[in-house]
Amino acid sequence: MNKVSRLEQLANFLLYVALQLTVVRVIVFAHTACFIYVAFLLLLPRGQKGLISHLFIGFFVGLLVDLFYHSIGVHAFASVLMVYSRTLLLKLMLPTGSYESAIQPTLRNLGWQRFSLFSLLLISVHHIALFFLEANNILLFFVVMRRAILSTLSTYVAVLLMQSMVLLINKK
Amino acid sequence: MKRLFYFIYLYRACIVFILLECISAHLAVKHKSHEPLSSDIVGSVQSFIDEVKSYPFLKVENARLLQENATLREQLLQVEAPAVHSRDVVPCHFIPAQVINNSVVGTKNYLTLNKGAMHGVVSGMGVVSAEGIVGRVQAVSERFATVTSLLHTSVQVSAKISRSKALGTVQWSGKDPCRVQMLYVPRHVLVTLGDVVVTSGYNATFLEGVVIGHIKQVKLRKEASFYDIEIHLNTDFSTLQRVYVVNNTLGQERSDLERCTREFYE
Repeated sequence: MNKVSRLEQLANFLLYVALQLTVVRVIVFAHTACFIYVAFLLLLPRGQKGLISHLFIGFFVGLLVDLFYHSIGVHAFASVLMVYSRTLLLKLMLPTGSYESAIQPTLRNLGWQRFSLFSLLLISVHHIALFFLEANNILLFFVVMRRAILSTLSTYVAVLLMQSMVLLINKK
Repeated sequence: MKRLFYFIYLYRACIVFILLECISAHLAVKHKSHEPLSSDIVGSVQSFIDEVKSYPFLKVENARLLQENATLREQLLQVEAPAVHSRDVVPCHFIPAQVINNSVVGTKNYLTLNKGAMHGVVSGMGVVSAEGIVGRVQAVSERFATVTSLLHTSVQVSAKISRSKALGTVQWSGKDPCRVQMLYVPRHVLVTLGDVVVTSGYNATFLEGVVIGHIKQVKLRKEASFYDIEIHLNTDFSTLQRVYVVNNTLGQERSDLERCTREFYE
C-alpha cells in the first residue's frame, strides 16, 4: 500500500464512518436503518496480504459504531463477517492473475452492474447478520427479515449515491 | 510440531476471522443481560449532535412546550382547590431532560438523556413525556443516563384500562413502534375500542395514571382465557425530544416494605 492510497483510506474512513455516526444515525426513514459505514469496508483496497489487517479494521470500526448504537459486539460481528466474505467474493468476481486482480472495488473500476452485485450481496450479508444477532429471537423471523431487506436497499442506495458523487467530482 | 505451525501460518486469516467472530458474538450475547453502555465520551459527542439536530425544530418544540405549560397550569388549579394531599412529604418530583439519542428500529431500543447522577437521576426511575410513558432508567453516569425504552421486547409494564379498572401487562411485540400489546386481561371484563390504558401504579417505577395509549384492536378467541389487545401508543417515540424523569420519593420506602413481605414467605 503506498502513501496516496493510505490517505485515500483515511479520507474514506472519515467520510463514511463520521457520516454514519453524525447524520445518518439520526435519520430514520420508514423504520429502516441505513448503515453507510459499510461503504468504508467495501472500498478497502484489495491485496493478498491485507486480509488480517482488514479483519481487525472491520472489528474495530464495528465496535466504534456499536458504542453509538447502545449495543456491543453486534456491529463488530457483522462487519468482520462482511470483510471475510468480501475477500471470497472478490476472488470469485476478479480471479487472481487476471489483469483486474489488483484494483480497488469502486463504482468506477467495476462498472455499475458488477458494483451493484458486489455491494448488494455484501450489504445483505452484513444486515442479515446484524439484525438477527440484535433480535436474538427466531420468532421474529419475518419481521427481522423484512427490516434487514429494506435496510439493505436503503444502504445500497446511499452507497451508490455517494459513489456516483465521487465519480462526478473526479470527472470534473 | 513444524507442521502444526505451518498449518497455523497457512490458515492464519481464517483463524483470525473465527477468533474475532467468537469475541464479538460473545460480547453481543453476554451484553444482552447487562445494562446498556453509558459512556461520557460518547454521550458528549451525542449531545453536540443533538444540539445541531434540534435547531430546526425549535419552533415546533416551543409550541409544544407552551401547550404543555397550559395543561399543567390547568391541572395546578384543580389541585390547589381541594388540597387533598396535605402531607408534608411531596410524593414525587420531575427532572426535565432532553433526549440526545434514540432509536425505534431495533427490537431492543434504548434512549440516552442529558441528565445523570449529578442531577439526581438514579437507575430504576421512570421516564415519561408530556404525551405519556417512555421507559425506565437503566444505567447512569455522571452527566448522562440511558433509558430502556418501552419499545424493548423484554420490558413489561403493569397497566390498567382506565374505564373498567381491569389489570393487565403491557409489552412490545417488536413489530410496529406505534403499537404495543396488552396481555392477561381476563375474558369476563368488558373491553371496548378507544378505551384509554394507563399505568396501574402497582410498581414503584411509575405513578398511577400515566397514559400509555388507547385500545385500537380487540380480539377474543374462542378457547382463550385472555383477550388479545392492541394498544396504539400515545407517545410518538420517533420524534421524542423532551422527557421527565420521575423521582418517586416514596418509591424506595414502598418497595422495601413490599420486598420484606415477600421475603418472609419465599
